[in-house]
Amino acid sequence: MKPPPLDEVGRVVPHDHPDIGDDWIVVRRIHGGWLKDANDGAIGLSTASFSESSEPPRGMSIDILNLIEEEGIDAKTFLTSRPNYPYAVLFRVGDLRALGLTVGFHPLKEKPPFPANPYHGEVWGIGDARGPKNELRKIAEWFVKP
Amino acid sequence: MHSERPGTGNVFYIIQDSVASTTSASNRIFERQIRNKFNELCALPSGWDGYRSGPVPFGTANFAFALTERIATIADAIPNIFPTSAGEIQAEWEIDGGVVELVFYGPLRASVYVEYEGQSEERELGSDFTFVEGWISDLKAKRTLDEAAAA
Repeated sequence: MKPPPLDEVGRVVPHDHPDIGDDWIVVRRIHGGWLKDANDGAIGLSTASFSESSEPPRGMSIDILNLIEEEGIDAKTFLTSRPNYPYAVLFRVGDLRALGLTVGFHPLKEKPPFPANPYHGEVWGIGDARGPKNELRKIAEWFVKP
Repeated sequence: MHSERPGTGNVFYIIQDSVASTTSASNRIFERQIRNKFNELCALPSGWDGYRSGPVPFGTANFAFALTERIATIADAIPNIFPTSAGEIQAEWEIDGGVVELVFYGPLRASVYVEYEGQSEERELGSDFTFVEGWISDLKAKRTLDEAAAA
């Protein structure tokens, strides 16, 4: 996996990583406070689940499942290792790109109290509007189900 | 009022009991429930979303609190309230088959999404929430007419 592109001060910039294939899977950890009663066949999640971060480079954090599995790590255990976010949904990268979003690689170094996350990525292009978040809710599939 | 959370160095704030006091018992219940939820959001631990997000900023919660309580009173319903990874607050109502979602991005910055009978609309809002209040009032008036027609 090539490293991500950086700006002049060494920060990851939004990008669509060429090594992340359309057939790859990315996973979004789900906080228990985002669950809601399912109606109209929806997944039972608020669109609040799919916001970008307020910190640069302002993408929606994800974990790249292919990278986790390449290391022989049990992804479900890795993703839900703390009590606040016991669930996870998955996206196919091709589906995200079909929505006009980009999927990048952003490995995170250890920064106490946070451990390193070498499998971390981001999805860019969601913005503040409800439309893209609702599309994400529609295409999300449970990976670790409530 | 603010407190230090032991061991983290984080400061979190408690919304004062005196904020947006209302008169009726049901309104006081709404107010208390919403305040409690907002206090929870302001005290979320770092990394609460599984990544590296922090708690909802007090300024966002303070702006959202009075408006959420007011809309809840008009709608006569407590919303589902959610934090986002960007430090926002999202309040969602499902009223008489319609959907209202308010997102508070920060002080004096919000948007609303409404959906009813296949129609939907999304707007940016500042401090003027008359559109939301009017929409909910219209929805309730329509329900009253429907109920009268069915009687």
